[in-house]
Amino acid sequence: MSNRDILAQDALVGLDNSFIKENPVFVEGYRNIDWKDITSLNNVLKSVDDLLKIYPTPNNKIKTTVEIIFRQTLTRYPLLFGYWKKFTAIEYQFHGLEASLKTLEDATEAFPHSIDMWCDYLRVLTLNFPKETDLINKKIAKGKELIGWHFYSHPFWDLVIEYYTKNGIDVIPTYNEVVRIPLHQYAKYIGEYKKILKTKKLAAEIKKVDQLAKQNQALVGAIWPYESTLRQTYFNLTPLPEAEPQKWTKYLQYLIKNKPNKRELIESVFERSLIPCCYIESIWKMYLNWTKSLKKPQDVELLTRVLKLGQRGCRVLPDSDRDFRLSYLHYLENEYGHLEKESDLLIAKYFDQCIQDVIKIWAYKSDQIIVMQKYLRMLKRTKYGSSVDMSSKDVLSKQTEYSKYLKSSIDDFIGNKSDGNVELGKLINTTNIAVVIVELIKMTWLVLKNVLQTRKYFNAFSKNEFLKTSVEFWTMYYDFEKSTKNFVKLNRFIAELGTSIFLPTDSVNKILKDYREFYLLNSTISQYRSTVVDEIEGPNKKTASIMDPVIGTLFKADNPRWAPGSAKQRRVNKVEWYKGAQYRENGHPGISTDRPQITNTIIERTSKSFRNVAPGLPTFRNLEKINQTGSYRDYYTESLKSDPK
Amino acid sequence: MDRNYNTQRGTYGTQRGSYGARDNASRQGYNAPRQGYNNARQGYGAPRQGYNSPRQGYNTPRQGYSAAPGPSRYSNRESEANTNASTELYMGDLAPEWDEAAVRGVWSGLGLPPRRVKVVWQPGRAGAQHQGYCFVEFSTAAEAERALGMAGQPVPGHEGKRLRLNWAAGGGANGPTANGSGAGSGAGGARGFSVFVGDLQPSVTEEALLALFQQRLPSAEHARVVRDQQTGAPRGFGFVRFAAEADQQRALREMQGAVLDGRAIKVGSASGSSGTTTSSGGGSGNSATAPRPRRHRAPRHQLFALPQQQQPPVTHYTDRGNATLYAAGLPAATGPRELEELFAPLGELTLVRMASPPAQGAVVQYLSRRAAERALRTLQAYPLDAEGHCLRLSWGSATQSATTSVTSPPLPAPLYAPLGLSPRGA
Repeated sequence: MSNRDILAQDALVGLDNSFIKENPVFVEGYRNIDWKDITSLNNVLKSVDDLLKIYPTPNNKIKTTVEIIFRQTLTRYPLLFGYWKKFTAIEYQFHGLEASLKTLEDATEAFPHSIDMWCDYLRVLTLNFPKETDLINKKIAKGKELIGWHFYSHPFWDLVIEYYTKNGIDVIPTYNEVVRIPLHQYAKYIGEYKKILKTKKLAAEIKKVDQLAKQNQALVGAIWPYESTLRQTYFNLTPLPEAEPQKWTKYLQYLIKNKPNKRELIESVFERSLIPCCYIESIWKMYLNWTKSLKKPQDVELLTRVLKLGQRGCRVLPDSDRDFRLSYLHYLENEYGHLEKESDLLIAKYFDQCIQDVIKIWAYKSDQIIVMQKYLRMLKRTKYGSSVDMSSKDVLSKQTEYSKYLKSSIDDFIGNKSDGNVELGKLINTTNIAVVIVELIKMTWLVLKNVLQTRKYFNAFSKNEFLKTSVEFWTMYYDFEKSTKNFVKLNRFIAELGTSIFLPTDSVNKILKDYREFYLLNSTISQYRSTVVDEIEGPNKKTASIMDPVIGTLFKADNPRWAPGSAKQRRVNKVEWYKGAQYRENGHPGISTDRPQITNTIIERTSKSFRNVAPGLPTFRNLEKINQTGSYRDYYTESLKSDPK
Repeated sequence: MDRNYNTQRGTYGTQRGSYGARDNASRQGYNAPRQGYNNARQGYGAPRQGYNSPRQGYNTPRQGYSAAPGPSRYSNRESEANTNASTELYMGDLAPEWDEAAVRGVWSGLGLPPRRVKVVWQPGRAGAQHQGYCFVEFSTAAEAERALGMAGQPVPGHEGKRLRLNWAAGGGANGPTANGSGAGSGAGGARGFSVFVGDLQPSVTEEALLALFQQRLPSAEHARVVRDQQTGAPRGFGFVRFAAEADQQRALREMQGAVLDGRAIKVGSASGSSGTTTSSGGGSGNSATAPRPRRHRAPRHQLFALPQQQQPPVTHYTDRGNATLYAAGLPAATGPRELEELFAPLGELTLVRMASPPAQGAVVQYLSRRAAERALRTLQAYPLDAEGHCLRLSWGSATQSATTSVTSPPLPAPLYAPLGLSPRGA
């Protein structure tokens, strides 16, 4: 089951109705859970606790529910080690030892840099399954690699040494290892090691150890000023104090600059910093850059580490952090093609995965377009690449193949029959399809030089609704028509801008400005007369939709919906628009419908028309309306009201 | 539309001009003229009691004498006219232990030996407990005048006491005993006709108030601004008395809203529930206890008042310096960059910020109001994608609280001068 599936599950589905009725606190708590709020999470898990007190021997349905809730929490936040511990205990209660061990193993995989999880795991493993020596040794080796260099990893080392001593395994190599590591408890291990050496009377070794101890002491002394200032070394959902990431950054900068050879130490500190600071982009960037700087050419293993690290960062960081992801993609693009085939394949694989992730999380048009462009560029290089030594026939066939691939992907998407097998098909959506279409047209027009086909494509795609708002597509179209100097079509295109093609004001302005210059430079007066002036003023005039490329473009700048006679047109198109109270009143309530009225015939008493009869009484109507508030749609307030915050 | 609107404003103007005095009431503000007025009257009610208390006290003995309602103490001019000159003063705030001799001693000490002193005793306890005031009669009107000039001065020999003096309204010539037989004689004519005047500036003096009324109503003869007894600060209202009832009624109609020291005054009937000043009275002394027909009628201004155009409260919609737009209904694919491409050509942008989800909107702020208006006009309902999402724009605010009003230029003066503020009646 993938992470996404786990998160989408509803933990309450399998429960009995009576159970749901009897435990409203638990059910409501889960239904209204706010995954971003630690207290909300804590409440739910506390209600789970209460639940298990009420039902000490829960049935399978309840067990499943509880497990799902824990898995959902821990899939989202694997760094919450307290929940792992609780989950282990619950699994032990539900299914016994093996299941809890499995949970602990999961924990060490999901949160590999946690001393607590490793210690718990090894403790359970060595106590209950002491015969599984192979597994234990494997896990100890793995633990050493992951957390051995952790400044506070002495519980882990204690466990290892204890296990070795108990089982009669030589501890000297382990001690030899430990005394080189700058640990909080480094002195303890040096003392113990020396004691063991003394009992074995290895005087030469002791001297060596003394020397090592001195070095190690110096190292610990050097990092202690940094270590001692760190306040939060665990992960939490509450916002991190601002100073913490800065402290980690300074610490890391110091290590990278002054102890560049202590790779294990630096890596360990990076990993530790990413526990509390896992949402801090700058530290991820620093880590990636440092790992990149280690790489020797052709080292596949190191490359894999960089790629994995980049992917981890992309998946962990909040969606709004663009820099890290973009720089990672950029790095992949740059690296590709300079290495051996194996590495290139690896890069292409990670690139695809990263693009897929990014296209899902970045909804904004500009991002979608950039990412799709990157993807197509890479696609062309990886699958339809050509090199200097290929024959021109081969090159052409590659390009044709690429165009065909694009065409079929587009057709699949428009025809709504994506079979999921085509890589590109998975990535296309209504926002970025324009990029693919533009790429296809570019290939056809500029690479394959098939003008006829290009025009066909334009004709076919320009009817497509998705493209009505695509800057890329219409800029391409404009360039294409410009290249053929087809002023009739260009004039029509300009007229359609803002009326049936809706581009951002900025793009419309640019096109209009460019077109005006282009027209003045390339058209002739006779052409202007025949195509524009006669159409507008001549005997067969067609007033609508004819745009004067010289004057109209000026009017239309900054007002994309301007069209000759647009005011008249609008009235024709929407008969009712001016009848609305909102329009007629225009913020002055009652100005057209309930206008204030005062009549007073006595005003006329000096005029001739005032007959000599008793004047009528004065009348007043709607005077109170002058202080009514206007009526308008206030989207701002509406939106704020709908917003729970 | 605009033209109509202006014409209509013109109509207002004309109306205002020709209505003349009739609807001076309009300046009372439309929202709660009656209520405001009533409040004033209530406010008036309370001080009135204090104001009248000496007179009530004076009435009491008169009733005791079975006297007709004598001329009000307002009407000292008439009484002067009728009785040559007044020589009698009312003196209040007596110390409990004072008697006639003590009061006489006080005045003698001041160099104005009175001709006669009459302390008003509690009924049945004459000589033991007085009612706190007395009447002092001097030999000449000039002496009485001089004595009255000492009002407010400390009483020599009695620390903490000050002279509290006024004309004895009954007039020395008649004397309380003298008018015992004059039941009802000339009561109506001698009585003044007062109006209540509210909403006075603290700076308004009695002379200014009288002058204002005399400009138009020559029979206005006395004005009084009521002051706080403790602090002496004006309480914002007063009374004007007229000799003729017609003028009093005209004042109610015509002086409403006249401007005095820059503030529109309110004119109301001075006849409160216990008032007698506008009552034509007459009849015997029993009339003080008999239910009197009340001529109270609602002043005409209460029947109708023109509304006053008001500035609406400043919100993101009414603040005319607001250059912030809110774009609603954005598709998911529209982000800050896309919005910038749409909005930036129309003017200099200062802010583009996406609203926090789930609201699908964004705040777009321009540097200038003009640009914001242009954007609102040209880009309203501009299509954004193939699924029918259109730009829906309204005025917005960059912050939840309207900080825009702080930075925006000050609001202009109201378009219309509040109606009826130039009192044609004054």
